[in-house]
Amino acid sequence: MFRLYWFIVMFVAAIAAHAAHVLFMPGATLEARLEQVLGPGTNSFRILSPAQAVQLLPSASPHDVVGLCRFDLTRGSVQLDASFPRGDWMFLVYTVTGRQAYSLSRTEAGETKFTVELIQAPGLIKDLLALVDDKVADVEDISNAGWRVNVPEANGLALVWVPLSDEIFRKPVEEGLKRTRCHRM
Amino acid sequence: MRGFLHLVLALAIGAFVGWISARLMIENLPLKAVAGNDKWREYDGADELLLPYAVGHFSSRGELPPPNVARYFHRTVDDDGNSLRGECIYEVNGRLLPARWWSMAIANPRGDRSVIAAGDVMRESDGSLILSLAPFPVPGNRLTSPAGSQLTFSYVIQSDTPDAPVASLPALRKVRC
Repeated sequence: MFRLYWFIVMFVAAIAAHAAHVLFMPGATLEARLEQVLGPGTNSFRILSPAQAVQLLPSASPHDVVGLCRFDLTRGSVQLDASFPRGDWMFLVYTVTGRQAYSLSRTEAGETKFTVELIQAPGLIKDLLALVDDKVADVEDISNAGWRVNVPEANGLALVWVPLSDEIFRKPVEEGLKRTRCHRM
Repeated sequence: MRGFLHLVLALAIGAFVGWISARLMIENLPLKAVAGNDKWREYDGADELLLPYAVGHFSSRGELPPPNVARYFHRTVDDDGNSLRGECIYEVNGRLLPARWWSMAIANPRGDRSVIAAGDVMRESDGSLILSLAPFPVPGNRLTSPAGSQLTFSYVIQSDTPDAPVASLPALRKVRC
């Protein structure tokens, strides 16, 4: 007879397999795709070819311009000096596993040249240690800062997506966007 | 020996159930039926509790989720409820939602897709859109269908009012196969 405890073992195995699949498999797949599409190199801004952009952003049309900085915060903050076009654009910060940490549109920003500091968000343990060490003020300073993005993981993408109505606008938009810089602080 | 076999069997069945339930939930949980038009489903990535499933919906295919400043609608069936096939011609017809920018895409499960955006189409005089999904050239606006069955048609808009109720979404009817 298949006893009750085997059902409990089955249930626990199901929970473990479910959680492992949901939490790790999608992130690993995306990370592998990023590696394949973008290749090596971090903390520098580049403009993607239409083929690369369409692979990563399923709703981007082939004449949209997509530029990105693949950042690595393990050795400190990264700064993005944005020089974006006057038309519509979306600025997005994703973690390497696909979680969106920040999004900004042209209408929300109101300007096209600005600086964004990407910093790794303190984890729960660091938060607790800060509380113990009476460093609450520092944590609040960070969360209240303006053009500063707390990223929950050390690696990710800061991406600007410029939807264009025609291929002929691609060249001038790319030229303008090339002035964007991404570097370690 | 028998106990060991039971343990292996229990672990194998449990792991399979966990894996299949994860795949189904990643595929379906973040997509909510659109009120008044259940053929269309809208991606909801805002629920913090379901965030791993919402992110996984796209990440598991090696794609980035749509921006929070956009709305993502998708459907896998025509107006008669039949799944979309690459060898058939379909007509997308209707008014579009107010948007700063939009795009439509058709993709097969392997990830082959074609995309059309706001600047690529001619609209009707009343502002509505007629778009053919076809594997070969047809008159008017066309989105090239990739080969295969179980295609997915998606419609993404960037809207200044992302929480506004959806007035209506275009119909998608089969013309012929």
